[in-house]
Amino acid sequence: MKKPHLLYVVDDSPDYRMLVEVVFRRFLPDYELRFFESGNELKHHALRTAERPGLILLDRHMPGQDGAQVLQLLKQHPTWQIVPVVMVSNNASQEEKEECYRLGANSFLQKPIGFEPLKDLLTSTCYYWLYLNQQASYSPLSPAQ
Amino acid sequence: MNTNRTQRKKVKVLVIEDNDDHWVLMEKAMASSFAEASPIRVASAEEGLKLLEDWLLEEWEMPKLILQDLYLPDNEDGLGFIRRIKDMPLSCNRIPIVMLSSSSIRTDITEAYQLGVSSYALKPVDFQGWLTLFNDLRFYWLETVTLPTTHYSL
Repeated sequence: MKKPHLLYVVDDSPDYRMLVEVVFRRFLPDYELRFFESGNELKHHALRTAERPGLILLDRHMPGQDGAQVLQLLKQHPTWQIVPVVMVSNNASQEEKEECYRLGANSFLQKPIGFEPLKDLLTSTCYYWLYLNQQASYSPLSPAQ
Repeated sequence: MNTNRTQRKKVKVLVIEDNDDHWVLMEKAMASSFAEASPIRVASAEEGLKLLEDWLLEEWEMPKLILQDLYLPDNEDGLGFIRRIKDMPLSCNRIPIVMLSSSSIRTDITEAYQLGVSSYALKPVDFQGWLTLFNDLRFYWLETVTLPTTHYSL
């Protein structure tokens, strides 16, 4: 059995997290998800784990540590910088999108409205990052290949 | 410029590929499954840098996407190219770079990410594979994500 593909979803909206969970449970069961309600929660987890997901979907706008700050932190961290971070937002300005690219976001997605568009977006995004894209490896606990 | 604009807007893609045989396959596959792309191909990192430096003076000429080989002919050439781009001004250094390489060596992939490539894909082994790859790249980078603008003013 192949290990499931792990991805993180960071978003302060409970409705959005629930919708994402339903999409994955019904249509993308091969992926393992970990949800975070805030940038702070992700930050605390990130600094304490050796686990590295294949992809992080990070909301641009959140109260407290917002997406751009968390992105910057991840991209400056020696072993988190290799994890692809895709920023997600429904109302980011052009400047905010540019800023995310400058800070090292691997790409920027417009949050879709409605279940079907969300399903399509998550399907193509996960396919791209977790199948087509080659992941850098960080596995301090397992022996080198 | 843009004299070949037909029904769809063309998207400029800079391709750095030193292997002529690979380029023949890539160009054919792009024409078929990534038809919006107007690829500009150079065969070395130096030529690529020269072009980007020229385009810096005419920001509207900046490509939307950079596809680059890693071994040009050595991996240090490809990695050096990323370093140089990331040191360039803003309109250039945030263009997503997608590495297309035959190397699945861990350190190659990891170093490319550390230097800031957006994505790393393995080169297909046959033409059908190239068609699929360009179709996937087109769908993700043109239809799924919002790319950075390459210039501020028109």
